[in-house]
Amino acid sequence: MIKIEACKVEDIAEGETFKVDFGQGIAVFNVNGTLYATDDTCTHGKSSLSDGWLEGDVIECAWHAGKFCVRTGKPLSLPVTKPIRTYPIQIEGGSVFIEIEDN
Amino acid sequence: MRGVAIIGAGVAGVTNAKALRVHGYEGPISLIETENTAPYDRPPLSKDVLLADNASASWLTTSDELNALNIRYFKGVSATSFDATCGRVYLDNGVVLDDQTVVLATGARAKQPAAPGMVLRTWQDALTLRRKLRPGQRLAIIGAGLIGFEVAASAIRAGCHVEMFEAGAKCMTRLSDPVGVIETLVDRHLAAGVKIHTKSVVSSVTGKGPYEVTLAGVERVFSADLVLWCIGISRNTGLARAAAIPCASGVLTNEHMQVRGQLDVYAIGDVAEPFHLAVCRNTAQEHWRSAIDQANVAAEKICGGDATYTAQPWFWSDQGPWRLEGGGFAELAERFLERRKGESRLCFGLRGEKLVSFISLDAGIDAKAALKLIEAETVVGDAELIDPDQDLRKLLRRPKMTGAA
Repeated sequence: MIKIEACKVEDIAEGETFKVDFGQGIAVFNVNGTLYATDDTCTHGKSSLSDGWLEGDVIECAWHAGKFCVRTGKPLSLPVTKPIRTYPIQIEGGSVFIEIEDN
Repeated sequence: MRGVAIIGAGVAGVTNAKALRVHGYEGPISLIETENTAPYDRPPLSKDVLLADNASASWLTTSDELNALNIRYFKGVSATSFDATCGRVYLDNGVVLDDQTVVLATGARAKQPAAPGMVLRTWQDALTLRRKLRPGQRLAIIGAGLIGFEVAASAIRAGCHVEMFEAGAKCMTRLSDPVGVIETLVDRHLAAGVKIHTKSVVSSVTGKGPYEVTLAGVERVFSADLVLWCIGISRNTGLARAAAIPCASGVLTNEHMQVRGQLDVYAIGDVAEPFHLAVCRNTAQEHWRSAIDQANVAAEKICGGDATYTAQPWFWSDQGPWRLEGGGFAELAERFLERRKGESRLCFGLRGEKLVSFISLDAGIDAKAALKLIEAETVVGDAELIDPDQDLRKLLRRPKMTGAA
C-alpha cells in the first residue's frame, strides 16, 4: 500500500473538487465537510472528474454528464456503466492523505 | 402482473427499463430491439468509433445487468403492431405480449434520398464508414449540421479530403447563433481543411464509387470516393400511426410522456414530441440528454409517481478538438450577452434578469453552470455574467426567482 499526501484540508472548500497529480490523477471531493477520493479519469470518456459538477455526493462528468456517487464509486447515470475506483482518505495534522492499494 | 413493453433499446429505452426497476416496478419488462446487437450508445459513432485503433461499441448495459434486473431483451426482433386499447404487442418472431403498458422508444432514422451514398445512424453504418475513411480518400458530406461536422472533423483526422455541401446560407442553422459562436467554430473547421459550400443544393449524385456530385446551377462536378448524407432524421412514428395515435413530426405526448388518448402508452426519446411547459407547446428535442430525462419521467409515471418533463434541453457536439454545447430555449430570449474567456465563447440568452438559453464553444464547466442557472431560474446581473473572472457556479447560490407571492 502507498500513502500519499494529496493536499491540505483548506485547499478544498465545501462543494469543491481538487485534482491530485498522481498516476492518472486522483480527484478529491468535499461533500459537506467530508472528503472523498476517486480516480480522476471518468470510466466512460476519459474526461477529468475534478473538472466536473459536484452536487451533494454526486459528481457529474463535464463531458457527457455521466454521474458517480463519490462515496461508493457507483455509476448513477448513463453513459457511465463502470464504477469509478474510490480511495480511503485520512486527515492528519491538516493534511489529506490518500491510501492506494497496490494492484 | 401487467408488463411493460419497451420498443427500442437506444438510450431512451434502456434508461426507461432500468429506471422502472429503480422506482420499484416488479412486473415483467420486455425490451425489444430491431438491430441485432446489444444496446449501444450512439454519440461515439461519429467520433471514437470512426477513429479508435479498435472499433468498440459504447454499451449501454450488459446481459448480466439485464438478467439481474429481470429485463427480457429481444435482440433483432421488431414489434410489428400493437393494440393500444388492450395492451397487446405483436412481435415479428411470433411472440405476442399481452396486458402491456407500451413505451415507444423507436427513435429515428437518417434521411436519405433515392440516390447513391450512405448515412450514419447505426453501429453497422459506423463500421462501414470507418472502413472507408482512409488517408487521401475524398469524402463528400451533404448537409452541414452537427453530425456532418462531427464526421468532417473525424475524417480530417483520418487524413481524408472533406467537401461539405449545404443548401442553406449558413451552417448548423437549426441552432440560434446571435453572436457568431457557430461561425467561430465553422472558421476552425475551414482552417483545419474542411471545404464548405453553402447555398449549394445537390441536384444529383451518380456513380457507384467514385461518385459525382452535381450542384444546382453550378457547372463544376465534384468527385468523391464516398458520399455521406447528413440531412436530418425522420422519426419512427410508423407503429404509433398504425395504432391511430396522434403524431405530428413525432408522437405527441403530454408532460408525463403519455400519448394522446392512451394513458398506458408512452413515447420517449427521438420519436417523441412532448409538451414542454417552458414553451407551452409540443416540441421534439432529438438530444441524448432529453431521451434520458424523458425515459426517467415515463418510468416514474408508470410506477404511480407524478413526474413531469420539465428538464431544460441540453446538447453537446464534440467536433474534433472542439466542443459545441447549448441549452435552454433560445426562442424565449429577449436579448443576448457574450462572455469571452481565452479562446472559449459563451453566449447567454436572457429574458428579464433570468437566463433562458446558452450556446458555447469550449466553455468547459461554465457551460454546465449556465445550464444550472437556467434550471434554477436564478436572478443574474449582466455585468457578472460577462465578467470572465466571475465563477458562474457562485451565482447559483443566490435565491431562486419566485413568482408574485
